[in-house]
Amino acid sequence: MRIAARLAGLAVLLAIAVVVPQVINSPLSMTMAVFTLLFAIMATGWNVLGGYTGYISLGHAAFFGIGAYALTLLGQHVQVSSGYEPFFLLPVVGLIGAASAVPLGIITLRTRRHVFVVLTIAMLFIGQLLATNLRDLTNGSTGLSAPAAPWMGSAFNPPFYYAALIVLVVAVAVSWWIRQSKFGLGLRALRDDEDRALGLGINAGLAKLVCFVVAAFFIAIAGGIYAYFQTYIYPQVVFDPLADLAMVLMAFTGGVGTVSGPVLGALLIEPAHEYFAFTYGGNGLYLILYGTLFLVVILLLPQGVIPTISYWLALYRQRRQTGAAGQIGGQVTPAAATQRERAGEQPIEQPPPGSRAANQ
Amino acid sequence: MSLLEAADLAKSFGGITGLSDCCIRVEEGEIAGLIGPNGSGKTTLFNVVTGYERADGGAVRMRGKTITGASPRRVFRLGIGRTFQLTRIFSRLTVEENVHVALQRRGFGRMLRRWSSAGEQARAGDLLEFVGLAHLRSLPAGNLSYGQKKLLEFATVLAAEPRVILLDEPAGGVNPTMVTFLADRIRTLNQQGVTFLVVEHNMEFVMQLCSRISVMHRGTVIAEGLPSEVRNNPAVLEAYLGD
Repeated sequence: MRIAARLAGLAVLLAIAVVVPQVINSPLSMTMAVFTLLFAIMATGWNVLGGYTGYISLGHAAFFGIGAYALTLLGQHVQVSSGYEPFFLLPVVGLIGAASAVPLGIITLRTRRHVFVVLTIAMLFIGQLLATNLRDLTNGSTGLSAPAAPWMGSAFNPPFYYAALIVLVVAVAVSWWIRQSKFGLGLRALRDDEDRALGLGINAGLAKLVCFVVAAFFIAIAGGIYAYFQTYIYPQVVFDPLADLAMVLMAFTGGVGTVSGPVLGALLIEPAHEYFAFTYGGNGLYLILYGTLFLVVILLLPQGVIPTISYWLALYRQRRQTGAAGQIGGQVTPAAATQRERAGEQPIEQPPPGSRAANQ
Repeated sequence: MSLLEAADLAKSFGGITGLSDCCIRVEEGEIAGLIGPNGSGKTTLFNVVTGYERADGGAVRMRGKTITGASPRRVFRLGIGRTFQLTRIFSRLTVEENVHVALQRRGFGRMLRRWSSAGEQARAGDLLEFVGLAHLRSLPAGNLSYGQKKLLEFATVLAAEPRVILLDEPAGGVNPTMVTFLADRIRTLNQQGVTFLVVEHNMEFVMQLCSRISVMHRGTVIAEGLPSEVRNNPAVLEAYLGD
């Protein structure tokens, strides 16, 4: 019953997403929608690594850049007509991103926690430096032209929108699949205590690398779509620290480690970002707003929107069932109570998701 | 041939000796005890045997086969389970999910299937029933009390049906009722053929439970024998009380 309801909800959301380009005529809004989808793809991909394994990468936007250059260079060296054909190169672009992620993952995943974060930041800037300096390949800071899309006027945005939507659906499906699989359970275990997971037969090294590469795959595809969408790329824009942070912020806002959280985060933040950048772009106010939002999320919603809401829902259901505001979490059956008494244990109370006890 | 054997193990941390010439045997089907003053190397021995620390010398053998230096993952898959002195569970997973982590599956395709098959669910349910945590199965494990966490860790290790289980202070910091319960569970499993090596400071617990006891002091085993023998061994008394 609950599964049927969820599927129905998903179908409705998807139908709305499909209809959007028919309803919105403004090219500006449609551009916003494309960017929102691209960020949703990136945040979902990032979440497979950062959310499920707890390895916070602040450099996965490097694969966005790699994807953007991969599509552009493929477009120059492989004969493609400029219509829908570049979209069919996207899986190849994803694989190029994934292949480049393997050595980077092997190196960076030798470290943990803060050191890992710092190494991944370096990854982004090394990518930017390489793109600037490998002039023969990338044309340096002058940049490169991607294949130019043939569509004109209001017909320009929808193909990109649908391409991004399809990739997003695949990314969410992969993320969901991983989350509910035995593999995913191992990931969440190693997020809590990696050494203990190793000692219970989890192949943590391989599992982390797989997540690192899956994240890179989807982020590279987003980069590929971006390159074709913008038709011109240069290092500072496709290896962008702000986009890098944005993707992480979105995952955290929506709910890190959940399937739908990163998508929700992108839906909430990216339109606002575009709007503020468009309105106050000149004075950089939107950057300050970004920073403020990051602080607010970390301080007030450390678990993100989705886990907090589901916690409230669980709380509400519990109260309605027991009819009183006592015991939160785990209904206390008489048998359980006596067993606990026999063992001399304290009653268990569930702390709110943001509290320290839940985060230990 | 012993089920598990450590021969002449050596391990030092900088200038400090953790283990030197440490030999210990665990025979199939017994409940072996390991005692010794604080800092005598008991946990280090566990860490070296289970692959968490690399030995500087010596060998670890399981049924005569050398497994020195194997990774914790491989050691576990060979049938050696362990618990930690400071209980380690996955606090953000539910109680039930914790047990599932240790239920082994082989093959890439199987890893991609749902985390709990019907068979696995039944098995996890049985294990939680066995340690008396079945009613808490859907709670986040981080919400359990210390003693309950110990029981959960125990159930988790049991999930993979290890041949031998190394328990590091199972009764430490746990109330007396729970200690009795735990001892009872260990005996039950032992009757089913599981071998144990128990590190414990609670002498009453060790003396009652174990058929054979080894005593460690300064990184090496100084005495070994029946509980009554060990209790009256002058070397052991000296190790505990000092010269």
